[in-house]
Amino acid sequence: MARILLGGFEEAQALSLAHALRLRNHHVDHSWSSTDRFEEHAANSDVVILDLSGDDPSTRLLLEKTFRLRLQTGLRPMLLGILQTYRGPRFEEEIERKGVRVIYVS
Amino acid sequence: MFRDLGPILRGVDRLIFDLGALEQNGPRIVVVHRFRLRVSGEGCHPGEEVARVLLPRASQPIDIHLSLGPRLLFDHLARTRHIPQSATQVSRSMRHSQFVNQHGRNAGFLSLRKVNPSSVKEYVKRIRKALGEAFEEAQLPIDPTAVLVSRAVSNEVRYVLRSRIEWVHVDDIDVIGRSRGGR
Repeated sequence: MARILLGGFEEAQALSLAHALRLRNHHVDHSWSSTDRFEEHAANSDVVILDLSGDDPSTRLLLEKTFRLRLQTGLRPMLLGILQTYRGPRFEEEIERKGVRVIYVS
Repeated sequence: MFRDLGPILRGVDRLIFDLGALEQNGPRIVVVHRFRLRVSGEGCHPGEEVARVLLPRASQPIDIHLSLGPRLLFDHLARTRHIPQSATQVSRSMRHSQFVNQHGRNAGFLSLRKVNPSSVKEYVKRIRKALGEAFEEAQLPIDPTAVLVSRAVSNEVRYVLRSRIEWVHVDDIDVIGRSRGGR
């Protein structure tokens, strides 16, 4: 069982993903925006899943906060970036170099 | 709504697996050897050269920049990683290692470094520095001293590499002194 934090998703997507993850016995939290509590939640998570499909400033902020946190706290949280649209090789390479595992979904 | 959550769920499984492996065994590091004789078959053999040490990443591997001496020491510590050794023990075993004494011979030249206990200590520092730079570039928050570990035993320090090591062979050759550039 892992502690997973979801960020940057639309509510319906987050709910369906959280439901599927809970069925696999993971503990799931949501962070709807780049609030201060995101860092607190992320610091207690094993995996952070972010929707990186759009070039949303608030999601970019969540990403930066998670990078900073990883540098301070160690390997946790691991980062999974979800893309529903292809944002080009440069973007993919840039975030993979920072340790994000990228997954494309439809 | 997502049509298929399978890729995300599999991605989460993989990340959790990687996290466990990193915490338990340390990072995966690839040591590249070249100039293996085709007739030697699989595995590592004296006469090969330790060409590069890499930190594999999803996008592209990151070089762990090591000069010849530290590179040879890293390879030696990797091959003896189940036995913590003091600087004296490392220098003795490297002096008697056929792999070290014939390093690069298959390419028609020997590239050697004399290894003594004080050079081992210096090389350890350089390896940790290079590891630190590579981890920083890879945004991996790992302390290099947790990968190349020093263990104090009474009044001596023993070194052990805590990492998953993989050896890759490139540029195999048919005859000593002649590279055909094949893989």
